[in-house]
Amino acid sequence: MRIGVVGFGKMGMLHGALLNSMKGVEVVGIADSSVFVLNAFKSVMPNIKYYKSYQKMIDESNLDAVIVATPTFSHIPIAAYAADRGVAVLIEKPLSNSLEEAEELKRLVEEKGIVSAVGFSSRYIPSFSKAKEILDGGRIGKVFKVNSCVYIADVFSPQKGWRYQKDISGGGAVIDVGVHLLDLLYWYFGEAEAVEAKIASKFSLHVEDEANAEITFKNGIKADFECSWSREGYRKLYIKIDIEGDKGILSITDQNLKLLIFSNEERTEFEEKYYSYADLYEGYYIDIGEPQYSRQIELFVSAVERKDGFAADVGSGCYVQRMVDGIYKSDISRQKVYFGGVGDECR
Amino acid sequence: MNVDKMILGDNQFFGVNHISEDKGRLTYERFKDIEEIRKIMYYSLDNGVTGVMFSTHPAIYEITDMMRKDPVLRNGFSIYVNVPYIVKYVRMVSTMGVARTIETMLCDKNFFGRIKYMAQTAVCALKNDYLGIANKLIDVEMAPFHGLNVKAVFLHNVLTDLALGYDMKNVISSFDKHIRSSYGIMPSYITFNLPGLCCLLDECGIRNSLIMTSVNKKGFLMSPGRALCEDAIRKTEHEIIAMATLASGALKPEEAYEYVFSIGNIQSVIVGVSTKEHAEETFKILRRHLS
Repeated sequence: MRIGVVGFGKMGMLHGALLNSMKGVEVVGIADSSVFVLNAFKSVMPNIKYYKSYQKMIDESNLDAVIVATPTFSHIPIAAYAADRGVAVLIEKPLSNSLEEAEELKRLVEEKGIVSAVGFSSRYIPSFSKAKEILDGGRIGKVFKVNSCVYIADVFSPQKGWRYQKDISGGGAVIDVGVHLLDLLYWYFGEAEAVEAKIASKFSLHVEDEANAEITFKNGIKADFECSWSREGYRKLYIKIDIEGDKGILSITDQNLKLLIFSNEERTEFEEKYYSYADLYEGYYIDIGEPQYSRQIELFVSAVERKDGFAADVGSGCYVQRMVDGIYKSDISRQKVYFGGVGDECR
Repeated sequence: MNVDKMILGDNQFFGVNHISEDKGRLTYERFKDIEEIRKIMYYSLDNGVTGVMFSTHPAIYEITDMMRKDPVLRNGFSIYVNVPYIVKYVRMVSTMGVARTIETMLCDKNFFGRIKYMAQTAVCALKNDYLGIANKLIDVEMAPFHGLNVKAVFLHNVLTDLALGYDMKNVISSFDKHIRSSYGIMPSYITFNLPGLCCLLDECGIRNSLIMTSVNKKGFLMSPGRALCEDAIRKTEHEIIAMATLASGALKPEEAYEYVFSIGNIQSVIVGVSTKEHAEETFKILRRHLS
């Protein structure tokens, strides 16, 4: 399988290494706008071809798949260029800075019948994958309450760079780190019906640093959502989801999972199970620090080989984008925002 | 090479806890007071520990200053350095891209001899010698350790495993050569993928190096799997330092070390401790296995 990587920053570099170390998969092209980056990697990996233009790379390289790991605003045009030529795409999260463009890409991907994936890597963190099994198996019964948060200690003063310019990034903490949690909630509970939210900027000048929302899903489940990239003490991305059902309670973080199953109707007696990260860690074909990316790439490669669907595809990306968009719209209108089906306008 | 049998790890000082970020945050708060770090280093010395590992975290300057001023610590410990401090680079690369990160690092006000490094790096850049630039970045990271007994320099697991993923033999060879020629010490590697790394080092013609890798009963951070890693440990000619032996607290020391030393070919262990009791319990069990 021949792979091209567009955008050779942290994520492009990681995806490239994960792909390159799989049997039968080869990174054949790298496109980046920085001549320094291209020259530097050319000097250490001379067998790969380097391009300033992603169009040229896609046109010349007979690729099976392209990894899109550029700043958010350029995701859609690059992915669309690849999709139009029948090349599968894995697009880093967030899918786009614009819901309309994301939905256009979804139509194109469906029309061309190509495999698409969005980098919602949290699904492959062992505790969150295990939680999906538990929820789908109905172990905690009918869910009636969800509390969730995502924090990282990142922004404590006005920052420079594309991430902090709303017209390029699409927003701040919600679109950058909140999307991981929004994707997990979508994966667990399905499509959202409405959202009511408030955002706030403590340090950033043009984007939000934190947000609070109540998301109502079509199945009636309500989830509290809290998001901040300015929370002291969270060296790494921290995600926590507490889910209460009539048969039990599931509490998940990116590092562990606690499952409590009631053993009587009064809910006074229960059995508790605890899984640490070490309990849930399985060997990976290669582990470059965050093995969820290894699992994601394995599943993507397998989907491209089989020309089969990928769970976190551009369609899922659009649902998540819709939630992000709803959070911003609700903050401006100070009202609850209702969604139609994907493809419809928010009403 | 005479590798220390018991090496004190530093994750706890900087709030790294693979199992619980909550626990990590609590210990991090305590170790913001450098006296608390000094105490742990003394408890470790009292228990026969002779090595300490440090990442080049921003707080490292304060710790190495303390060690230089304190003859007991300065003479009591060999230092194993882990370069680079990856969290800093990841954040910088995500925000400003690779090129500006390198520029910023080389202009870092913290480091000594800035003009000389800048000049040497400019020469490397003119010659398109990007591995030379990488070596200059290592020199910047090594600056806080001057005057201390540095025994080995480890390439951070993310970089080692990234080099493995791309099969970058030239990067590994350049690191090996630079550490040997500039520092006269052992170039060493940290990995979560021991079998793969052993093959890569073989292909680079590097023998008798030092590898720090995860070894625990849970198979935690042992990819592609526990059995293959055990096999690589038994067969390798490289010296192994076992890390993640307690699987970040998921295992008790007694059962953990029973397993580690049952594999064979392991003479050194790195472990982080955060209290006197923890130090005494852990190192006592370790001493028994190591004697």
